[in-house]
Amino acid sequence: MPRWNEDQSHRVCLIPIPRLSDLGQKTRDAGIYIAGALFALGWWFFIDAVIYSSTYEGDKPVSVEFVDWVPGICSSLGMFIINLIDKASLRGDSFAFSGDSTSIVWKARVILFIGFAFMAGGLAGSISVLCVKYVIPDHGDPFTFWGICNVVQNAAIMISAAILWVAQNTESEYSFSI
Amino acid sequence: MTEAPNSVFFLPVTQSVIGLSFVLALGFLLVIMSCALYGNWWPLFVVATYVLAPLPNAIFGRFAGRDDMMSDYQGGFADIGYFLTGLMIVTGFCLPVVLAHAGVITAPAMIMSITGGLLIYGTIISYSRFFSEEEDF
Repeated sequence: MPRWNEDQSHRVCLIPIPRLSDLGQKTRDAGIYIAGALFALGWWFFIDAVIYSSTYEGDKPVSVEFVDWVPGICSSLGMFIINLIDKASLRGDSFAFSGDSTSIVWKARVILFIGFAFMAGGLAGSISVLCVKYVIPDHGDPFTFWGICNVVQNAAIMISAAILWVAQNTESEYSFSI
Repeated sequence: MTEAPNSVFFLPVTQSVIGLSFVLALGFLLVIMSCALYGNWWPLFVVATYVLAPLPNAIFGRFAGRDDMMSDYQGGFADIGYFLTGLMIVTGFCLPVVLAHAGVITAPAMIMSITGGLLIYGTIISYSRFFSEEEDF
């Protein structure tokens, strides 16, 4: 892979990050399957917490309410926004529609930023819900689990979005190198 | 195009087809027994995910036009199909676990349902792997 050494002067990191563009179609498809599986796994963790909360017998100091839904909705919305962006328009070498292409690149980057902010906000929100609602009042065993499920859900959605991002960028690099 | 394989799993094709169909029937038997033995038909929803799982690939694969040489390949549509299929497969395994955790079904019913799901998916995957017409790029 001589490409690493060619643009040595443009690199930010000292240690080269390996390009994933040589993995090919099969690995890319597998990555998208894994992303979908992780997304479903995260949501099922949360649904488990919701169902367990609503079928719990005995008095419970807290229950899963709408507050617990908000981080997951934010994360999913962020993932949706990120995947709406045409990846080619981020790179700047796309076809310039009107005048300069830098404005399109900047618009795409702003939307990308909003999407990642939604996802990071979802993860941070789930951790804060876990702390404020479940850990600090110290409710005990089955209740803290609901908050942990929320964190697991948002982390899984974030990893899913990362895998999807890498896999889809693999494809576009692949087709561009042809 | 390669020729159809004349042996799969060290068995002739005809016998392995018969064996796979037995495994598929066993999988469905396990799923149905997980409902019928306990008189609780909630795990039957798992079958819906088995039916729905291959559908997105079939629908969006046609949109993507991978087979069509004249149109350019649109990977986005195929990606939606793969994503939804992965989602459905995990749903099929998570549904019994969540039901068992909530106390709706018993743990043996969960184990039978998941084992049946593994057998059914294994049959579908190995069947489509070995008996589909392989295309060489």
